[in-house]
Amino acid sequence: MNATVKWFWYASPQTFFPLAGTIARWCGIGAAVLAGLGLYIGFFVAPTDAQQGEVYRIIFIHVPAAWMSMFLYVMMAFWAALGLAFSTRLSGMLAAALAPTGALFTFIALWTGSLWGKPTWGTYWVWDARLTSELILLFLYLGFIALRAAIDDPRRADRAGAVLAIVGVVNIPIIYYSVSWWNTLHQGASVSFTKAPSMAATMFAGMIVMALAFWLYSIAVSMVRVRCAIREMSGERG
Amino acid sequence: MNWYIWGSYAVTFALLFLEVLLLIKRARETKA
Repeated sequence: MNATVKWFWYASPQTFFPLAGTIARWCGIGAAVLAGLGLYIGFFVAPTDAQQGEVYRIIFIHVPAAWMSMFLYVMMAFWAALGLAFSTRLSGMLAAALAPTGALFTFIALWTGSLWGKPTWGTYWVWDARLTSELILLFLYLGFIALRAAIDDPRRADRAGAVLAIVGVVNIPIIYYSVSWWNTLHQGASVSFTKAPSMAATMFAGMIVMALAFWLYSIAVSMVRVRCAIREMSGERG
Repeated sequence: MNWYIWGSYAVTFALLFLEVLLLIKRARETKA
């Protein structure tokens, strides 16, 4: 079986079902191991920050959660667009499976950012561009979930959700570049593709390990959710 | 100061744990 045929083979929900189970199992184990390692680095290896003291340790969940909130939205829009273009049922299922986890990570990014903001900025919340655009991302996720839930016909729900997801992608570069485009209270990007990280190597390592843990966690729970959706679809068909 | 750190970590892992629990429940229901 060549590579092209394999892609089409796994595009069918029934053939994807066992593969999703295997992926979920290994990613779940990987996420647990990496989360343990990340927490160990974050709490026992990374040094205390010279300016912020201990409270900076929120970075080990805040930044990875914020990255995941944006990454999962792009992935959700990608699968939704693929479903819209090719009418593949599995694409819509994957998009729908990513949305709750994306919304969860967006909420975590806002919550942890708020708890980091109080001791460092003196306030839990401020309507600056980064925070406001991240809040809009949460509303986009919730809107996507609510819109799909409001439509009984799965095909129509996939199409309507896809349009919302694709339009909402415009918010991702706004979130990412908001700290450069506007004068915000939020600091600039912690990590850039063009510059070396400006933090201690152990801090950076802890952040990357936690980001990988969140990434594997997202894959694992999304795969389990897709398997549930496939089972539900099979049950409805009888 | 510690409240901010523990508040962040506790809520994060509680929510992730809750998501896993709800998924396990859904998986059991769909299996039955």
